[in-house]
Amino acid sequence: MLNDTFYDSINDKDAVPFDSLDAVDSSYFSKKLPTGDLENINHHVLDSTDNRTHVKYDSWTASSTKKINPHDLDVAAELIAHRLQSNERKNAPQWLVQNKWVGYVSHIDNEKGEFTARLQDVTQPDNPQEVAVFPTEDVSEADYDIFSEGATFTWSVGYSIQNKSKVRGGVIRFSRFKGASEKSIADAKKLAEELDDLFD
Amino acid sequence: MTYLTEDLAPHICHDGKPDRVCISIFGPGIGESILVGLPDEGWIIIDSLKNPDTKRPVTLEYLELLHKKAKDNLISTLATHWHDDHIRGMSDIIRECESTDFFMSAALNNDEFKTLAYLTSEFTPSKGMTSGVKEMFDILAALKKRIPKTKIKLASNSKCLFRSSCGLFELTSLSPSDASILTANSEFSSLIAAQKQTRKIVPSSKNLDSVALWLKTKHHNILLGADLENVASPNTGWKAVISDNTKPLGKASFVKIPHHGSQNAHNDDVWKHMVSSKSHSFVTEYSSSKLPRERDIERLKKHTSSLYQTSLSSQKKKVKRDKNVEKTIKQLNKTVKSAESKIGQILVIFDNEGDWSINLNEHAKQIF
Repeated sequence: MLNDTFYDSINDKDAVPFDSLDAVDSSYFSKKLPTGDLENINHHVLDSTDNRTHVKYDSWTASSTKKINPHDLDVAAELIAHRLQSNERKNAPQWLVQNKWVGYVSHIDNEKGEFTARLQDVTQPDNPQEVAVFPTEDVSEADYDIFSEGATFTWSVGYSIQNKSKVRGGVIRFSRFKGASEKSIADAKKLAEELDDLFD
Repeated sequence: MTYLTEDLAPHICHDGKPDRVCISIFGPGIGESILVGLPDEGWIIIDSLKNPDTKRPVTLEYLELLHKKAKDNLISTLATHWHDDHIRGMSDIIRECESTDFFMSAALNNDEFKTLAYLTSEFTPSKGMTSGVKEMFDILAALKKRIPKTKIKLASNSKCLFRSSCGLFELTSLSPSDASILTANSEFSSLIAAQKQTRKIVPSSKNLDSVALWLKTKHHNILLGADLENVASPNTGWKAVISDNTKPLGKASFVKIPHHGSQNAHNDDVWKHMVSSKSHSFVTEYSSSKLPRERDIERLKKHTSSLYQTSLSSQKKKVKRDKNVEKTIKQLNKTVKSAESKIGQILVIFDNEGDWSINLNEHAKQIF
């Protein structure tokens, strides 16, 4: 579980507001949340009328996230799970983020068991782009299906704090965006045809 | 960065037009961009990169520094291929310079690539994470808005893209080959299919659709290798260029080394049949893959008299980071390096008698 710093730092002025949960693959949420919670979320979820995203659930509203990329199911699910489990979290190890990057896999070397990634520092956004090499074993099993060249992820480093002891660590989370549907591909194809007049 | 203008501008530019043949090669650690000046004709931009400080294409910034009217004399802009490190900021050039023609690889003129461009046009997973396909989409969208419309010109093997009115200058594309153009469709189909499971940055593919160029001037031929690679198939990449007997004749005295000096882009026959034994070469860095490597430099020593590099990994842009974060990264046994160097510029100026000079800004260096 990630702390509030995570949600504050995903705000991105270029991101578009989350439209509605209709767009969300509920089977994905079911992997993250208990069935009962999932049902409630389907009925209460999101309000984007003020161009910001708020998760409404029972008596509370999670509004620490102002905008969410509409494709990013992971972030929405994390936000909801984060609030649902806030009480349990009090006793769980606290994760303190020191620095966070967004990145994408630029090359996978299966022989060496590593991948190269292009990174952009989110904590220090003025920093130049960076390159890092990670062992493939850093990719969690849950992300194997989407781990490929071009896949985007966040990398956070920081401390895990429990019982007053601090341990340095890092977390890679791959972003699970909604895949392109047959309809969106067909629409793109139709629009692409309009470019034909640019060619002889 | 410091552009090479102060003393040299009067020698290469008059009233916004090039005064002599000149070629500027810019490189920041990832990517490259080339500006060609042809006297009495105008400027040609080949590929694009942005100045990270100003977020503007370096070629436009440089033209503005040379002369306030220089941009008006931009005759052509060419994207050798669609990879991000070669076309970043090119849509800005197309928007700002209405007079420029646009050339691209004939391998991109298919429904699959255009569909991929539309499909990924609105996908920005995070600020600063750019994609070459998206930039291509922006270029096409900017061209579509033009009134009257500018037709896109396609580059392929042995095709004359530009010939000066005086007949002294000729720019010819050497690639992509017919076979590369034919196979491009299936490559783009696979890239579309890969977007179905989860959206992602369109990953770079093999550089077989890249446009290598041959510039003929009065005294010299110049080979601009783009990112064209060498593969097993005789019908694609550099092997197809070698076997094409309709390509321009002669040998090049100056070479922009293909694909950042990688072994994948090396072809002995190119050096033997297309390049003079006393050539001068230029290479740009691709720090993500640590190109050129030491062994690439050693290999190039056998083929070219001198080699210049636009930027050096020793001149990386500094990363500001808290000491504690550095400590954590170290403890996790990770190496995180800046991918961007300061932008180097190599400027080659040719005079009317065929003499030439190679000028470097403070970030570029002669390797041997």
